[in-house]
Amino acid sequence: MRKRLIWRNRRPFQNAVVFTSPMCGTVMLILGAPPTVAVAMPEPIRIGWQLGLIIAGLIGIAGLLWPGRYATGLGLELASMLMLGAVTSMYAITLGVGGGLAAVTSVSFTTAVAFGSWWRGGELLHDLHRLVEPQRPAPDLAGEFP
Amino acid sequence: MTAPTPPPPPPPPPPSTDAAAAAPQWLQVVLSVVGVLGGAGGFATIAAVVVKRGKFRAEAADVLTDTALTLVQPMRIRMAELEAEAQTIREQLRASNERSHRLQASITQLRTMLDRWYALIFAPEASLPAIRSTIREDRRRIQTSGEVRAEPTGDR
Repeated sequence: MRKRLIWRNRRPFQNAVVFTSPMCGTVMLILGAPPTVAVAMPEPIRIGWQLGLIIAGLIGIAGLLWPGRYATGLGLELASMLMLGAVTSMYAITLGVGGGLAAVTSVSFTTAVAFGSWWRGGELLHDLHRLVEPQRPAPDLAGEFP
Repeated sequence: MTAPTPPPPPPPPPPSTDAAAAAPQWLQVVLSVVGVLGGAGGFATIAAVVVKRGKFRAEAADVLTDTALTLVQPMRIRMAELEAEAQTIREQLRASNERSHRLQASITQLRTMLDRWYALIFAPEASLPAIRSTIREDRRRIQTSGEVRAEPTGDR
């Protein structure tokens, strides 16, 4: 059965990552980037990367805790997931190229986060499509209810 | 891609010598592309959500209701079928009840007639012509009413 209900904020891994990423970005922005990143990325890309980490996390938190309309929260979450997927992909590529065998663990987990972000982004895209598509309140049942 | 290189630097994936200078170049390009794509996608999504606010009229509750209806619909159809079936069966039951009542009534009638004939035959002053005329009259009455005769041709 492929019916799936749209439900929000039932993803502990996503929640953890989304809550962690702005902290990580802030710390790096204040204290400086780790050597791998500093070597691989030039200054503007690095700053953009850290800002992206912070912004994606904040938008993700906003989307998860959005009090208003459901679709808005889902859209914010989608934006956050796209940005987070890009940011973690960048980091995974950097680590994988620069770190070699020593970075297998970190590359694996970072890639997992990136993959999960893209995955969740695809899901959100699908859900939002379902929310936008024209209403069909079961036309053959119209008027059959008491 | 097996590079049998005995020297100490063992990283096999990157090509050996001038890749150290060339790798950051394409790496930067890849990183920039990924970052620009992701950032653009994210901001485009936010812009789309802000702009198309009104288009998302359908709340998730509606989608839930819709899904529930979709799940309920087969049961509804099945229920309609069963109701129609029950209706026809009730109809048949009513018809057969009616038929059995009619049959019972005709049996009672025939029984009374039999009792009457018995009494007629065994009456002390019984005479053949009287018995014959009574029986003939009874028979004529039965044939005109047609009740007994019509019974066995009931439906089913």
